[in-house]
Amino acid sequence: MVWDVIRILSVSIVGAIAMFLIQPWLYRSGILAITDVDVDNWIAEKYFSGAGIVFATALAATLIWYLIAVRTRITSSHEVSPLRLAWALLLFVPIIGIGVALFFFNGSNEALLSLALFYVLDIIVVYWFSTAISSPGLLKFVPPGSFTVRHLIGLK
Amino acid sequence: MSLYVVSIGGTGARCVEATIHLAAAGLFDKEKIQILFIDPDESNGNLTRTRETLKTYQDCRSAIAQSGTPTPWMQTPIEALEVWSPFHGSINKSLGSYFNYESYQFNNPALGHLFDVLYTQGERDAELDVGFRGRPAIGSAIMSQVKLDTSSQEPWRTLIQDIEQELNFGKFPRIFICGSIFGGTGASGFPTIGRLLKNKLERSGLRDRVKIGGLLMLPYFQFSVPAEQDPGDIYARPEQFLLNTEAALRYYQAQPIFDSIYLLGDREPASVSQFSIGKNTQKNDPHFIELYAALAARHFLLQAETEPVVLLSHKDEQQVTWDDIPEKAAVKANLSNAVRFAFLWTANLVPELNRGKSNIGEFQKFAPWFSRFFKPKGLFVGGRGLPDLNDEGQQDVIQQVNAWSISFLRWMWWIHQSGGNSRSIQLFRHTLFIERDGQVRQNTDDFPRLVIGADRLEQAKEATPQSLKEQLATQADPQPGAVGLATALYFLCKP
Repeated sequence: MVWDVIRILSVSIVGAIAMFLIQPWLYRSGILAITDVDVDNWIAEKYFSGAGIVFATALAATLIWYLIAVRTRITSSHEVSPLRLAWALLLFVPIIGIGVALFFFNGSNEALLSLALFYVLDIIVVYWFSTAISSPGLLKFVPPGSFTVRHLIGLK
Repeated sequence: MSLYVVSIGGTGARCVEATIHLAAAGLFDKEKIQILFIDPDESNGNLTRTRETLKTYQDCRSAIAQSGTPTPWMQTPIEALEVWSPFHGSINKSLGSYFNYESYQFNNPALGHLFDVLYTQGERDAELDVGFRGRPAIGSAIMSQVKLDTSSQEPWRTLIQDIEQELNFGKFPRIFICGSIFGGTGASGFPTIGRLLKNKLERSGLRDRVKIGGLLMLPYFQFSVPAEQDPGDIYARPEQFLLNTEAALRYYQAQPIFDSIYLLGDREPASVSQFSIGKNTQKNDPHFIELYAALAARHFLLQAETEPVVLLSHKDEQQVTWDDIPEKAAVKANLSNAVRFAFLWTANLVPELNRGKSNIGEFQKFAPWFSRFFKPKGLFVGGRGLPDLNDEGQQDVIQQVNAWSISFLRWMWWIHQSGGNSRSIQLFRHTLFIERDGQVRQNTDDFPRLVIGADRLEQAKEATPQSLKEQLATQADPQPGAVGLATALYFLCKP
C-alpha cells in the first residue's frame, strides 16, 4: 500500500512537471508558436488555470479510484469486473475537466489543438498510468492495459 | 520411526480413517505409516470408506509431492497392504467349514463333541463374510489360525519382512493395533493378533526393539435391532456390548502383550440409524472419539518412551473444546491450517479456476494471483516456465486437491455432528463450511471465524480470503502451477 501511494505521488509529480514546466516552456520558447495572443500573458492567465483544472480533476479521479479500490471487499474475480465500470466512469471527471479548461480557459485559437492534445496526454499520465501502476491488491489489473504495462516494467 | 497400523474390523478402519485425516494435516512425522486391514467382511462399508479416503490422500499426496514449500501438509507417506480376510479365496465362509467340522464325525468324534459344546449350530453355520457377527468366540478361533511363521501367507509375510528390514537398518518401528472391544472382529482379533505378533517378534529376538501399542474402542455407538429380525439369528447385540467389554478388560489386565494400551469410549453412545449385519450397509458416520483414536496413534508414535497407562477425559460434560484435546497447541494449529486451506480451496479457488479456464485473457486481469502460477495470455507478459491452466495435468492436480479437501471437510463436519443431543463439539464452526446436505458452502465471508476459541485479538488478525489472495499475488518466485498454488495457499492459511 505504501508503494502504491509513492507511485501515485511520483507520477503526479511527473505530470505536474510536464504540465506546469515543460508544456508552458514549449509555448514560450516558440517550439509551439502561437501568434494570436501574448504568450506570457496567455500562459499566466489562461494556460495555468486550464492546466490546473485538468491536473486537479485527473488527480482527484486517481485518488477517488484508489480509495474505492482500497475499501472494496473482494472475495472472487467476478466481483472485480464491475469495478472496471467504476474506473471508466471516473475517467469522465478529467475529461470534463478538459472540456471546462478548453471552453473557459483557452484564449487562443492557434493553441487549441495542441492544448487539447497535451491535456489528453496529461490525463493519460496522471490518471491512466497512475492507476495502472498503483491500483492495490486484487484490483491491480483493472485499469485497461495495466496487465501489460505492469508486466513490461516489472511491476506484476 | 515408521508406524505399522493393524486395523481390525470396521471400528479399526474408522480409527485409521481418522489417522489418515490427521496425517494429512501434518500431525504425524515424515516416516511411513503402513496399514494392514483385517476384516472377514471385505466389503464392509466402514472399510470401503476408509480405503477410499486413503486413495484420495495418496492421489493428492502424489500430486503435490514435488512441491518444495516447507509445510507439514501430507508429509507422511501412507501405504496399505492388501486387506486380509481369513476367508480369502474360500467358498464356504462359516466356522464349521473353516475347521472342517463335518470331518470330525468320522475322524475325531471327541473333537466334534467339543466343538458342539463351544458353538451352537447357528454359530457354526452362520456365514461369516459379513464379519463375526458380534461373537468374539467365533472370531478368536479363526484369527488364531494366522501362521506368522509361514512364509507364504500374505500380507503377513510382507508386514514381517518390512519390520525386519527396518530393524536391520537400525530403525525402531512401532506396531499399533486398533479395534473395538465390544464387537466381533475387533474383540477377537485384537488380543489374538497382538499375541501372535508379540510371539513372532520374541521368537525372532526382536521384541525388545519393537514397541507394540493397542487402541481399544469401548462401546461408543448403539443401534436398535429391527422387530422383524429373527432373534435366533446370529448378529451383534448392543445390549451385550458392555458385558463383552467387561470380560475383555479382565483378559487384558492379565495379558502383558502391549507396551501401551489406550482405551477410548463415550458414555453417551451415538445412535446408528441403520441396523446392518455387515457388508456395504454397515457404514457408520465418523465420530469425534475417532479423532481421539488418531491422536492416540500419534501419541504412541511420537512419544520417546511409551507409557503403560494414559488417562484422558473432557472437562465439561456438555461440550468438547480445544482444551480437551491432548497437545492442544500443535493439534489446533495443524487442524486449523488444514480446515482453512481445504475450505478456501474448494469454495473459492477451484470455482475461480473453473471460471478462468474458458477465458484466461480476461480472468487474469481480475485475479492477479493467477499469473504467478499459470501462464498468462498476451504480448510482453512473460510467463516462460509457467504451465497452462488448461493442461490436463494441472486440472488433475486441482481436482485431486479438491477431492481431498472435500473429504477432509466432510469428515470434520461429521466429527462435529457426533456429539449427540446433550453435547456439542466446539472445535470449528462446522456449519460455516459444510451445508446440511453435505455440500461445501460457497460463501467464504465467515472464513475468519472458522476456528472456535480464537480470542478477539486473534480474530482481528485473521486473514480473509481477500488478503490471502493478495499475498498469493505478491509471492516471490513461487513454485509454478497448481501444485505451487496449493502449497503456497496452504502455507498462507497457517493461523
